[in-house]
Amino acid sequence: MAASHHLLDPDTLSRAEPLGLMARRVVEGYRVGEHRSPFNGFAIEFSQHREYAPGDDPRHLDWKILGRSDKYYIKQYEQDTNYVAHLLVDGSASMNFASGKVSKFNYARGLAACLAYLVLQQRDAVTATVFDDRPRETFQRTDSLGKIHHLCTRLTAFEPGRPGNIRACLEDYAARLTSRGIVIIVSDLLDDPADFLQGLRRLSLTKSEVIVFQLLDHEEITFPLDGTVRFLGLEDDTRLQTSPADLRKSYLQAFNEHQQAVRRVCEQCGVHYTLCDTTRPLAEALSGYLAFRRRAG
Amino acid sequence: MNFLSPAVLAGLAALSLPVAIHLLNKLRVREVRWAATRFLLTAVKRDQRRLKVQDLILLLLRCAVLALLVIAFARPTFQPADRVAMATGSPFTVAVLLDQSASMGASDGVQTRFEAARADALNFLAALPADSAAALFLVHDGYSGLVAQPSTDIALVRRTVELARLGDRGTDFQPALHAAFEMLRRREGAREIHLFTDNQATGWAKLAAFRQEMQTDPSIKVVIHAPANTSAAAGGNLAITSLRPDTATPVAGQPFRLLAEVANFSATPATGVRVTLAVDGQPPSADAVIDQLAPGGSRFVPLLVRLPSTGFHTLTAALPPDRLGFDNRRTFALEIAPPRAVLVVESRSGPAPWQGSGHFLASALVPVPPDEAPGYYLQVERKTAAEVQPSQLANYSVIYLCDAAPLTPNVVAALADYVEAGGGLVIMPGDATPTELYADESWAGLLPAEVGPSLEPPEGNLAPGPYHHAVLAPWDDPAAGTLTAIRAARAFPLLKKDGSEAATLLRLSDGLPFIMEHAVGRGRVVLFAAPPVPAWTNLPLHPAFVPLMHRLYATTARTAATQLNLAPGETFQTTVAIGRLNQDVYVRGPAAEARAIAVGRVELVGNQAVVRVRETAEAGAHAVFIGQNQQPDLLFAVQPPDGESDLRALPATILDPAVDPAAAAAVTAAVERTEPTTAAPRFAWPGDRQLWTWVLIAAAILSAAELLVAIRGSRTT
Repeated sequence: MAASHHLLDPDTLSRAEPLGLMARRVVEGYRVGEHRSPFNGFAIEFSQHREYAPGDDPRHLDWKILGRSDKYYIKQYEQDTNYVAHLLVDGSASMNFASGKVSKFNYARGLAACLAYLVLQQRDAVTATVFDDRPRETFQRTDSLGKIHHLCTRLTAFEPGRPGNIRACLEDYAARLTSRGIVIIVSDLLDDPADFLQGLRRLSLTKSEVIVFQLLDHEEITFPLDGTVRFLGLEDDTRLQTSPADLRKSYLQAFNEHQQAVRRVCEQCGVHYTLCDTTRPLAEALSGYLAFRRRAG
Repeated sequence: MNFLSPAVLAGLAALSLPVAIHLLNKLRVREVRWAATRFLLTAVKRDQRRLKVQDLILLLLRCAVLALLVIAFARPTFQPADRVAMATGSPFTVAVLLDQSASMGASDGVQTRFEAARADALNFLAALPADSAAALFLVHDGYSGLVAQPSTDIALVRRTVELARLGDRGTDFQPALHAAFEMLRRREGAREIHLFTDNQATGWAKLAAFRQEMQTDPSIKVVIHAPANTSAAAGGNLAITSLRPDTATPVAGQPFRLLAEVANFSATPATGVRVTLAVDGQPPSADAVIDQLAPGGSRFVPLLVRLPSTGFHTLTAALPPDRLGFDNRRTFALEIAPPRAVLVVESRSGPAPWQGSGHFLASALVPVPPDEAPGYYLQVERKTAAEVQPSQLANYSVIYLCDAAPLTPNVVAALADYVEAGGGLVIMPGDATPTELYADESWAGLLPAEVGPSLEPPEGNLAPGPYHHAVLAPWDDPAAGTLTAIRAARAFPLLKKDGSEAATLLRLSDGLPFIMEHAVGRGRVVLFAAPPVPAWTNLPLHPAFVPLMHRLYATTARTAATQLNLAPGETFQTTVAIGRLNQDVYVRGPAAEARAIAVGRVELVGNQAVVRVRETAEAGAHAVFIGQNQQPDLLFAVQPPDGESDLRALPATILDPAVDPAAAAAVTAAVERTEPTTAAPRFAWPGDRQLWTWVLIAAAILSAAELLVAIRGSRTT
């Protein structure tokens, strides 16, 4: 219980709440809210006419125009509606890495909890899934802020320990996605960028907005180690003894190449990408991102 | 290569340090659970080969830096093993002999032999083991014991070596070697003599004597440090080996002829050699050009100048500069005396001058018109024997007894004193001279020969040359005419005394001496077989009469006994007026920027005031100032030794009894002929040919390389 409350850091929430999370796209929803619905023509507020096309529901025909001019026009409407935020949190073994006090997974579930709180506070719905090589923990869709406690409890209970497979997970999730919404992926993205690309492409077919938070430890970014180190792989049985100082240049080169590939993949799929250094305070990373979202409109 | 501190080489064990550090680093492994292993594996795959090579290079560089540092502290050197052993062993007592003779001034274009030898000596002293003692002798034709007894204060000895200067004296190694040998003989322990020299062949005239001395104490080792290339100076070596007057008596305003002997000591012929002559340090006023001078050859060059006034003068002959400078100039000092009186004692047959027996002689001594006679440098007084006053004899530079009547005993006694004090006496017996006169005991000590009764020689002509006497030198040259036309109709036979050192200047064809001379005390006496009157000989009518009389005057004249031309190291000494007693004496040397320095005072020697100058090591003109005079009172010249121009050297092994000096000299000369004319400058290793500086520089370079490799390989430093 205490652990789940810890995820809702008051300082973090106080910074994030005023900003809110503004959906950049009009999302599909069933509850009137602050977000623009992508569905036109369901009444409430007239938008425009357009010519009838085969396949249109004849219920939306404007009979008055048809009567006056004998032309078929469809009436279109705008409606503010609620959206569903799909939180996909990477729970593979690599997320267990921590050079300091906070592991990448701890950082990820904190970030997910904050986002969920904000979404629920806006009376939107949220659903959360923790995955490694397949979805492991799923929190069913809810629009009740009172369920945030349950969500936090489920996130806290999860312990990463298996190798990840982000491609399979994203493809699987996209297949099960029935409506458009916002998909928020929180992962270290250390998988092959090609696999990540395949997963994102499958997700983008659902026409959902996808947001990617890549969480990396500061040591993974700068590789500052010295002396002789025996590296033990978190997701495989790699054992490598070497002098990191000798390898620093090549490591950083490979790392940067990987990061560029990840960014390129996100750009290709129209995905908003944010890199988070886990040594930075969560509030700083979250509020910075939301400020960017608000500016982008 | 050898090492002066070989024990330090044990530090090479430190080479294991980089390896040990490397292994220790391998042992101190930290385990890290890592998520991004794929990047690590990529980096390892990419860098594995490079890292191995880089590691190897770094290990080698670090080992090399350590090894070089250890080697540098071990003081590596190219010195021979025996010197290294000396430098690293027990203390030595050494005598350092530094050659400062004039030949050491030969330059190879970069430095002189003296500078090279001095540097070698300094390095040698610096490399001596602790507690060693060193003495220092400067070697020339004698020696100067600057540090006469071995001193353990090596810094002092080195400073003394640094202050040593090149001299203009000749070379004789034996006196200095003997002195050093005697000094070391009284010492205990390891003893060595080290001679730093060009090993000039002419300095080993007494080689055999020293070889014998060495055998008396074989424990004293003698080492000669001679540069490898001591051949003749490149670019030719011309020398003025002598400079002497060719005019009997220098006269103010009259032409004065000098003969400069120019020798070629190089292996190539010299062409177009210009010899100049300067008077009193002024720009050259005479010159001559020698068209060609063969290797090893020499030539006399006549140079004619007019000396401006009476008093002291210096004449400096000079050659174009070459790489041995001291012999390119030679200075001759002379004094032009004021007009001097001579006395002709004659017999007269009438009152007219021509009726005197000394008429021809007096005319020859003053061969100028009567109106110019008062200004001529010789003032002749003609007197009969009866008119001669004993007290006045000292006023004359030469007294001629030309067919004179017998003198009184008082005058004869005064004449003997006069000659003894340096006066010149020329005796020409004739008709007025009784034969038995010179048999008198009072004359016997003065005459160079006994005088017999006059006779008519059957072969009265003078014998032909060569004459082997300075007075007659001009007639050794056939171009100057011959004296054989001079004939004596009558003559007194001059009979040489037993054991006499009298010289015969001229003889008649039948062998009878015609002119004889010898020294008496500080003066000279010349004896003729006939008076210069036509009844006895045609000599006064011969063209050679005037020059012969003047040259004879110059030889016999009572001159100041001052020797104005000295060899380096000789003491200049002359008498001055007694009124100058105790006045300060200053001397200005020949250097262009030289200043007058005090050398002492006018001393009282007997009843005379004497000036002595002992510092005469530098060749050239020296000016002597007495009291506060701004103009020099005296001039004298120091002339460099002749043999120093011959730069042929002997090998450094010449003290080995097995080495034949003649054969060694022949080999050296052969090598010299085959050597190129341009000598390459000697490459001097820094610091006694010790290499530690270079090794340290190499270590620094390798350290920088190691740093670069480490930085390039992303290593933290």
